[in-house]
Parts: sequence; C-alpha cells; structure tokens
Amino acid sequence: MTQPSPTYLLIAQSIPSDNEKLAQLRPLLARKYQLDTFLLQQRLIGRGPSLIAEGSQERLEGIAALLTEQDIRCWIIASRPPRFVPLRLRGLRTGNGQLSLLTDERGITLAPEHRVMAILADLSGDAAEKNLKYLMAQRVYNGVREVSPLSDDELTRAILRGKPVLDLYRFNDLGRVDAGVRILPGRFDPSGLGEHATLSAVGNLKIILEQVRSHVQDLRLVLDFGLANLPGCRLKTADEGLHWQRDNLAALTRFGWLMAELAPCDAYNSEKSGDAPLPSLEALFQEIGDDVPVSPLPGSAPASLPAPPPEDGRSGSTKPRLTLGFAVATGFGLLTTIGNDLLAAALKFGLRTAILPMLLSGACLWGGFHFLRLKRHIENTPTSKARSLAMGLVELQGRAVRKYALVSPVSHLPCVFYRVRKYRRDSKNNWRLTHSTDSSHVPFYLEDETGKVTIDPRGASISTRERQESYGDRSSSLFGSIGSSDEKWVEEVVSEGARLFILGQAGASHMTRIPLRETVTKALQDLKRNPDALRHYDRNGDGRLCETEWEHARSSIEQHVLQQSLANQHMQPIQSDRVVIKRPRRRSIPFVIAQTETELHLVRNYSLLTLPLFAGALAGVTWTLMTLKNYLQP
Amino acid sequence: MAFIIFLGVLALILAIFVGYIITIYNGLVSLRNNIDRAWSNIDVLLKQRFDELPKLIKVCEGYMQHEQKTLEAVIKARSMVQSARGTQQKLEAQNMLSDTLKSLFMVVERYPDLKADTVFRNLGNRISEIEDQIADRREFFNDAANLYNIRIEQFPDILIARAFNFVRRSLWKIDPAHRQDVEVNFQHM
Repeated sequence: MTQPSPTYLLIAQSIPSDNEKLAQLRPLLARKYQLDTFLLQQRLIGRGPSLIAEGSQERLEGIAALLTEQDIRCWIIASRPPRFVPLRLRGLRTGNGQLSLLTDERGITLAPEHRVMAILADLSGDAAEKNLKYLMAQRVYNGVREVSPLSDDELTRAILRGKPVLDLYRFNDLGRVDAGVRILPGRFDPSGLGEHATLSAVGNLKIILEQVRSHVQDLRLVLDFGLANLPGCRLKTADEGLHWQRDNLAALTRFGWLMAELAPCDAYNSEKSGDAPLPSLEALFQEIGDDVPVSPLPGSAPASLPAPPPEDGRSGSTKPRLTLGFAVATGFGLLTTIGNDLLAAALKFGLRTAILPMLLSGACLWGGFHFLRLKRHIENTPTSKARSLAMGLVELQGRAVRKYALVSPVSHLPCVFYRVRKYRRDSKNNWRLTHSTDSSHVPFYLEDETGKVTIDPRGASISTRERQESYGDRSSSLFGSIGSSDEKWVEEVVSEGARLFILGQAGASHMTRIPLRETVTKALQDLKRNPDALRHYDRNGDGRLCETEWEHARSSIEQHVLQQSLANQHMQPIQSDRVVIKRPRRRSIPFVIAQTETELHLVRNYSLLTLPLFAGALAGVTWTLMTLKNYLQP
Repeated sequence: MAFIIFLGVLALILAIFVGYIITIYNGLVSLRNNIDRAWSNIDVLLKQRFDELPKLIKVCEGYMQHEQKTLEAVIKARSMVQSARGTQQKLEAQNMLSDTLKSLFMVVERYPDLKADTVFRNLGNRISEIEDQIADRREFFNDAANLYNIRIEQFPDILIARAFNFVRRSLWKIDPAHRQDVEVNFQHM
C-alpha cells in the first residue's frame, strides 16, 4: 500500500509595503498557479510570515522560485500537527549561570549554549487590531506604497497592554524542539525572580523575558502571533463563543510549532536544488502568452488617492430634507419655549377637531404608497453590469471603492460616505441636534465583477449599516474634542469594501470624449488656415486645390486623425469615469444607495414598512371619524 | 353617525385599493417599456460595432492582401446588417457579422505584423469590448423580459395584465448553430 503524499505549505515572509515588482508578480502567480491576487496582496504585504499556498512540493517550488526572485523569503515545510503543548510555568530558579523553569512535570533549564525561541503574544487581539488600524491610517494618508507596520518596540508595548502570554521553545543540537514552557502572567510564583520581582504580573513577565535574554546567547523573539496569516493560527475575539481564550491558546501552540519548523530551515533557495537558473518575469509572461505589463499595472492601486473635493453647495435633496427637519425641530422647540400651556392647547384643539388624526392618517397613507412604489421600482429594475451600463435608470450591485482619500471624521475609518450628527442635551434632558454634516459631495466608485463606475451620491437616500454613537469621550477632526457629557455624536459610515445596492440615473460624465467627426472637422479647418500645409496637397502646383486634390487631402486628414485617436485610446477616460450614476432629474424617480447584501433583503424591509403604514392609515381614519362624530354632535 | 364612519373607512380602503391597482398598472407599463429600452440599448452597441468596422477593414487591407475573401465576407455581412428589415432578419444579419468577425480575427493570427500594429490592436480591443457589452446587454434584456413575464403571471398582477392585455414577451434566443459543440480534429493539428 502506498502512503499518501504529505501536504506541503509554502510560507513567505511578508514585506512592509507594496512595490512595482510585487504588482507584476501577483497577476503572474494568479495566471500560472491560480492564486487569488487579492489574497496574495493581503498575505504578502504586512508583518510576519504568511501562508501563500499549500499542495504538492513541485507546485510550491515553482511559486517559491518566483517569490525568491523578487527577494521575498519563503519556506516549504510539511504540514504536521504540534508534537506537544508547552508546559505551564509554576515557578523559576536562577543559579550557576542557568535559568531553571519549573513546571508541574519537570524543570527545564536554559543555559548559554541553548538556542531559544520566545513568542510574546497578545490573546485579546488588541495588539493585532492596533497594528491593523496603524496600517489603515498609513494607507489612507500615505498610499499603499508607503505603508510600514508597527516597530518591534511599539508592538511589544501593545502586546503587554493586552492579555500577554510568553511561550518559550528550546532547541537541541539537531535544531529540533526538545522543550517548551508557557508563561501566563500571575499564574506562577515570582519569588524566583528575587529582587527583580515586582507586584505587577505583566511586569514579572517582562522580567522573565529579560532573564531569558541574559541567560542564553541565541534568543529569537517572535511578536507576530495574530498578525501572521498561518493555518490554524487565527485569533478569536470574545464574541466568538465562550471558549475563545482556550482556542487562542491552541492557536498559539500551532503558531509556535510552525515558527519552530521555520527557524532551523533555510529560506527556499532554488540554487540549492541545482535547477536551471530562474526564468525572468518577462520570459514567464511570454510563456503564458501575455505581454509584460507596463507599470503601474492596470487595476493596481495608485500611490495615493487625491484629497476629497470641497463642498460646492449644490447638494441635492439631502439638504432640503435636513432643512425641513431643522424647521420642524425649531418649530417644536419654539412651542416648548413659549410654554407648555400653548402646546397643550394646540394639541388639544388638533385632537378635538380631528385635524391631528387626519394628518397622521394622511402621512401614513403617503408613506405606505411611497415605500410600495420604491419596492416596485427595485423589483422591476434588472441589475446592470458596470461594464455595459446604458444611460437611464439603472440598478447596480457591488462593492464600494474610494475615489478620494475620504476618512470618517470621528472614527477615522477609510470610507466612501459618512454622516455625522452632533447633539447637545437641553435643560429638559432631551437631546437636541446642533450640527449635522455628510460627505454626499464626494463621489466614489462601485465595483462589480466587470468593472467600476462613478457614483455621485448627492441627493441619494443613503442607508448605512455601520453606526457609532459616543458621549463626549472621543475627539474628532470635524468637531474637535467633545469633552462634555452633555454632548454626543452619532456617526454613520459606509466603509470601503462595503456591499452596496444602487438604484439611480446613469448619465455621461463631463469627461466624455470628443466625437471623431468633430476632430476631423477641426483638423480640416486648421488645414484651410495653413497655406503651407495646403501647398503640400497641391500636386499640380497651380496654387489652388482642385476637387481631386481636396478629396485626397480630406482622406489623408481623416486617416491621420483616426490613427492618432486610436493610438491615444489609452489616454481617454475609462468606463469608470465616463459614466456617472446620480440623482434622476425627475424627483419622483428614486435614488437609493443602500448597504445591503442582497436586493431581496432591501425589498423585504420596504414590504415590512408598507403594511404597518397602511394599517396606521386605516386606524388614523377611524380615529378621525370617531373624533369628528363627537366634535360635530351638538 | 356610525354609517358615516363606516363609509369613511370604506372610502379609505377603496383609496388604498385603487392606489394599489394604479401602482401595479404603472409597474407593468414601466416593465414593458424597460424591455423596449433594453432592446434599443443593444441596438446602440450594434451600431457602434457597425461604425468601427470600416476602420478595422481599412487597417487590415494594408496587411492582408491575400485574404480578400475574409474581408469581403465582413463587408458583405456589414451591408446585410444595414439592409436587414424586421427583428428576425436583423438578428440573423448581426449573428452573421459576429461569425465573420470571428473568422477575421482567426485569420489575423497568420499576420504577426498586423497583430503588432497598435491601431489594429486598439481597434480589436474596442470591438471585443463592444462584444462583451453586447453580451451583457442581451443578458439584461432577458432579465427585463423575464421580470415582466413573471410579473404578469403572478397574483394579483395577473388580473390587471389580463384586463389591460399585457402579453408575454419572448426572450433573446441564441442561434441553434451556436449551441453545437465545437468539433476539434486532433489529427490535423
């Protein structure tokens, strides 16, 4: 019986930021080895080692050769489960130049001749999150080419502020792990630290790490747990079940053994295998049948996004709606200011004469039909593709992509749209809106599987799913510091990458190309004004162009303009900038931008709104008539 | 007075009912027009492809002196599109033009100089871009027709559809010749 061939893992050391070589390599790997370019970008850029692919050794060697050519360190290792879980530290002793770590089962000695790997990890995930936020902020402000992860010192500080754990692995002379210890802060007797011991559990952990550093000559400190994309090493958070901490410790063990496997291996080097010299990228592109892409590659992210355009004051219906809201709020505020008696009297009059129930019934009826029409519009419009959008009312689904470097003012997240409202508590303990703003003047892209298209969100009814609320303990770039507990802000964000549904009017943008006929006419007009050029077509030299000569000149100019237009085609605006989806001219046609996974979900929401509104209208009219009956009775 | 209340509630129910009927009717009208619009939008792209062809032929003529038959086939198919009358005839002419274009691009493989020509490459890209868009818009047309066909057979829309004579619309059907498997003879390769 033949044994099944083992699965191999190709692990590569991530690089801090994107570069042109990597941008060329990704599509090549995608075509030659069917690797996902997006995943490759995620895994190759960042911090720590990442799993690139798994499978047979031959296939992985091909990928590794290409990675090595681009100066990316990588390893091919067999996939094996951990041999043992590190023993829990209970106490420690120092003496004779050695550090003895005491566990329930045995003592483990660390001496200067030992090689040790220390893994300092944060089980809470805060350090990983901090690194992610740091990378995102850098990406927002510096672009993808200028990103660098947190330094070791910063990361160590972040880990120690979370839920730190220290794993120590000792290697024997053959480079294999022969012992492992897990140190949890506060779960061991620190008396062995002597005068160095502190009252802080985390402080004692730090001191152990320093002691290990002083007792062994070859110590390798690894801080990448939670940041590295390795199989079975994903960090769980508290909302992922009761046993998230136990699962994180298991993931840490797997991470430790994977790092231990990488430690004694040399990075993959094709020269060792005695293979022929590595083919160049150009040769490989030719082998696949493609041209060498000109950098930057089409579709690769630009170095940095432009700053959002300033607000032009031409906002659509959002502002009137807000103005109406303000007017109602002001009216209500005025009534409350004038006095409760007047408000109570107005309400009483409205109820007694059935005006209020009638208004309520009318509003419910209007609302019911509004949502019914909206639902029908969405149901009746087929979904278009970005590549082949026709002008007119269109429906699109895809992911939001930023066109400008827009960042939400409070949570500092890269986003395509934000809406922020600031409230202040009044003397009666009610929240009153004091400031409101949004980014509806900033266009963005919607990307589906065929391409992307510009969205101008002015005047759209935008529903978001990400909402944050805070009471005066955060600072924002928009409002400055919100220090008082009598203030709060509410921020709604459509973050980059969110799945969006859009129903709106597709129209040509200002960047549409000039028709060829116009260019030819202009070229002919220029020719007529230029006697030298005209002389070029005067074949018989009589000083004037006859009909045949003019036809020849015309044909030659047409040919020239055509060739020039085709040669410059790459400079013309691409589909994403040629077509823009905006508010329809007719107000009765909706413009909806909704953050939702499916159209069905949105339609169901509108159905759920329609029925209670119609029921409310019926109840309202019954109430009105009953009130009228009482009012009209003598 | 109770009678007035009853009448009032009845009037509102009637208003909601009439409003609902109007919404359904308007929806069906908009769906029917969507189909016509989707059909016309395909025509827009077919016209664009039609306009690009003389440029392509002009560029090819310079290189393909020995492929006059292929070029003539494209020119003939183009003129057939121009003279076609009626939906069925137009469809057939467009399919024929697509086929001759495919043959042209296959023949181009024999002319490396032409393949390397920037103008030809740009034109080729432009035409294949239009072809992709045509395929998308055919799909869109079928979606629009399908939505309409489903709607007129669903309750309560079927009542309005029957009353106002909304009839089924046919989907875009592919030429049966294009459904056949491609025969590959490895002995001649």
